[in-house]
Amino acid sequence: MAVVTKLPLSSLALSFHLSNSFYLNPISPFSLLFSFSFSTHPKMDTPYHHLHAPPHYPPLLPQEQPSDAGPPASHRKPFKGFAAILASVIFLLSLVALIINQTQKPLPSQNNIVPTSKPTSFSNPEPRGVAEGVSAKSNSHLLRNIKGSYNWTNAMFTWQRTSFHFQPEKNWMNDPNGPLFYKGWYHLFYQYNPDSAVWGNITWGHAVSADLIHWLYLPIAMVPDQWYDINGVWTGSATILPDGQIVMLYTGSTDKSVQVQNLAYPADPSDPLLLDWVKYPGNPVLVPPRHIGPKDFRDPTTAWAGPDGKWRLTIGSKIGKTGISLVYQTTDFKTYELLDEYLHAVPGTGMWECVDFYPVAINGSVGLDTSATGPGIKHVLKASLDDTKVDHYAIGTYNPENDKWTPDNPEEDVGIGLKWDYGRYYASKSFYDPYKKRRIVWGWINETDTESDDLEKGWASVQTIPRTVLYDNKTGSNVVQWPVEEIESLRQNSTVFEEVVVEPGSVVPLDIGVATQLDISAEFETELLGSGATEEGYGCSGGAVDRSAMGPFGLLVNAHDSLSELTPIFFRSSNTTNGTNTYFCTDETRSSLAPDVFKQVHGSKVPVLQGEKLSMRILVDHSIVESFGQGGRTVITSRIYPTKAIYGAARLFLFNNATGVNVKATLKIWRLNSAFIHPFPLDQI
Amino acid sequence: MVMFIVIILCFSSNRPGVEGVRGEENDLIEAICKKTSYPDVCIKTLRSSPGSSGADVKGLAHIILESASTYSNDTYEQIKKLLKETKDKAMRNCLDVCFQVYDLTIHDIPKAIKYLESGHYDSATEYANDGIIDSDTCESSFSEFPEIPKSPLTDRNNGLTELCTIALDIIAVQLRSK
Repeated sequence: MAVVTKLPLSSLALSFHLSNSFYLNPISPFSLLFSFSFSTHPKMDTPYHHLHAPPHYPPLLPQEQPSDAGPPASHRKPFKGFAAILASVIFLLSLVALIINQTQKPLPSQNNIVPTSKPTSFSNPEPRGVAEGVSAKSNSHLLRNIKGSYNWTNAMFTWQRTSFHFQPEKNWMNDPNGPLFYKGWYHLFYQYNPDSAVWGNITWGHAVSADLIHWLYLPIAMVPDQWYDINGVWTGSATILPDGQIVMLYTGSTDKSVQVQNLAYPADPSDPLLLDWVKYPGNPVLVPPRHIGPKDFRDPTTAWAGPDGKWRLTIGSKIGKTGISLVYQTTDFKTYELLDEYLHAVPGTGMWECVDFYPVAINGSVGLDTSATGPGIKHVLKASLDDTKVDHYAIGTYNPENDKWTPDNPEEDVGIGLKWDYGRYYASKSFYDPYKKRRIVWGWINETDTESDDLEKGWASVQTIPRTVLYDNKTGSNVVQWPVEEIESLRQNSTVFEEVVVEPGSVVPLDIGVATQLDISAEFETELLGSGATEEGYGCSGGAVDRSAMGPFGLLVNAHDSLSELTPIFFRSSNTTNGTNTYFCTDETRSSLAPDVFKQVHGSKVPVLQGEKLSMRILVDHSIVESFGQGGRTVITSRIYPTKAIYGAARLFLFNNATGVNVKATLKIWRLNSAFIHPFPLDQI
Repeated sequence: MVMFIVIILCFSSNRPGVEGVRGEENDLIEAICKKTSYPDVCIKTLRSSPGSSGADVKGLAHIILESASTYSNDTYEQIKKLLKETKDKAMRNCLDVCFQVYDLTIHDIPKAIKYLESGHYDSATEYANDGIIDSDTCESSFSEFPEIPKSPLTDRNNGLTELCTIALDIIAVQLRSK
């Protein structure tokens, strides 16, 4: 029902050459500014006495790279009936604007592409989305062709669906968008293709939850139905004004594939479900400025208020190979002023996508509103690097007087230092939860199987369990992330294992019943056998079969009895000349016998302070595993697709593959219930 | 006496291939070019330029931008020539876009040089970046038309992107050492 309108390029005629001004769409004569709810289960603690199994490590399976072949997706644009009224008004507006602009000759300009219609065929072999300047499946650049994909059965595919992670009922999802808390509901929007399990035809999916765990699907919030977002309603963020108004800014890919920023707001602010959204008739409110490429301008952040009362927001981009963060000031979110100086820039990091910028309290106690400043506060600057498809962050100091941020440690600046998550993870976005005073971060977890697998099973991607973010006031050099406490409402029975001793080269099965939905907390102590000579150069890269004196040791999740499939999550310590280093790692290389899935070793050094035991927390949910080392100082998300270690055959083991230490493990393991994510019963309202 | 002067002149002239005499300057060119995105193009462009020996980092960036300027002017002339010769409507459409953007480029790159010389490295960077944006805009205009099998300007556009990127990389070194 909504209309596809194509305004001639003159409406984007840009006079950048002589001034730094930017062009706004002609304001319509019609003003369309509409003032616009866990059960607990009894816990059973059963002490368990250790037993030893003979050491048994099968050889490393050959690693093959999966292919990226897949049939092109269909290219329909869906329209929602309930937006009919909005659509017809927009149609009228567009008609007027079209008539006004009809007579002007299109002028190509520096920052725009030829005034022709975009080809709609998907016949090029490049993963769809890459040509648009947007991240597609991020392992595509590492794929090679293989003869044929694994013979997946329906049982295997069905098992891969997660039970308590957010994912749509089917089809493709990517970046989380505009998360917010409003009138008692947490809202999540997300990049969603309603037509296919690959990227394309991107809309804003929508879901709500009272507790960040039990989600209810809602109808699609925004579809690509305007010339300024016809090639995709891309990522954006919400700003909640002091009076409670919600301002949503998002990137639209125009009919000429230019990236612009658009304003949207709830059609009915009294509707707690925020079902319907209005796009500001004056869109786009921002177009690529002078010196910025038309496809290097996307993902506006939540705005924060400055000392002068004006709002600021930042948008990632690049100049050459330098990643930058542009700053815009505004009072009404309709007109903006671009600052001369960037918030920050780091050479060599390439395009910054999904920039996120927010304060953290130095005492590490609570989350902070995005506008908070003052002593006792530092700021996190995070960027998703387009070139490597990795999320990076750094902690530093923000100066509200000149809107510049400087890192505490320039050696670990944004993009060259810490990663937000060391596994399969991208496009994270945080928001402030005023209800429980938390900074909460979402992250998009893509599949690591092939595109044709995704098309066959009919879905792709999940979101992480939302995590709280706090400054680590013990190390002073990183943040800690932790699953929101509401996940504990899914806990069913638990099993405790006290001080299980695991000798070098041994594997200990942990009898906890079905092992596919688990919340594991484990603490490890080591006892040196022998002299403990120094070793250099041991990290994660050898994986769990690479034996050193003080590691690896940890858990094997989603493991088969035969150990033909297993996923180790482990610590590896080593005494170096600079002191003891500890690495926290996951090893996917033997997670599945299927050759066409991408299996990597992930991880990094994790800070361990004097007197701390090594601890990890792991959430196992079928094909996703989220691992938190040392209270969330290092976090690793993995996707795994076992073929045998599924359903009742999935097991949990302790292992110690070190050569020179005994390991003593204490664990508490909960079975987790499903979150039963389902559609909101709108017909019952 | 004349022989003496000739000998002095021989030793002080900048002849390529004279090993050892210009070793230091070559080392700087190699050191700087190694840190750029296109080291080979960087070295080739700088070595074939008479002013490059004895130039400091800023001077090397200047030379690269001068090359980019000359290069973009040549491309501009080629586009004008192609426009005169081409009757095909789709091709003319694309060439027209290229004409418009290169019309800007040939003014932007001299601005980049000007800002480089006056030490305004941020502005120099921005105007050099325009060269990349413009060549990209020109090149992608051809892909809008499936009936045009291949852009006639791919090498020219890539060439400009390379030179501008090299300049940006060198300026980043300059900026970082500030």
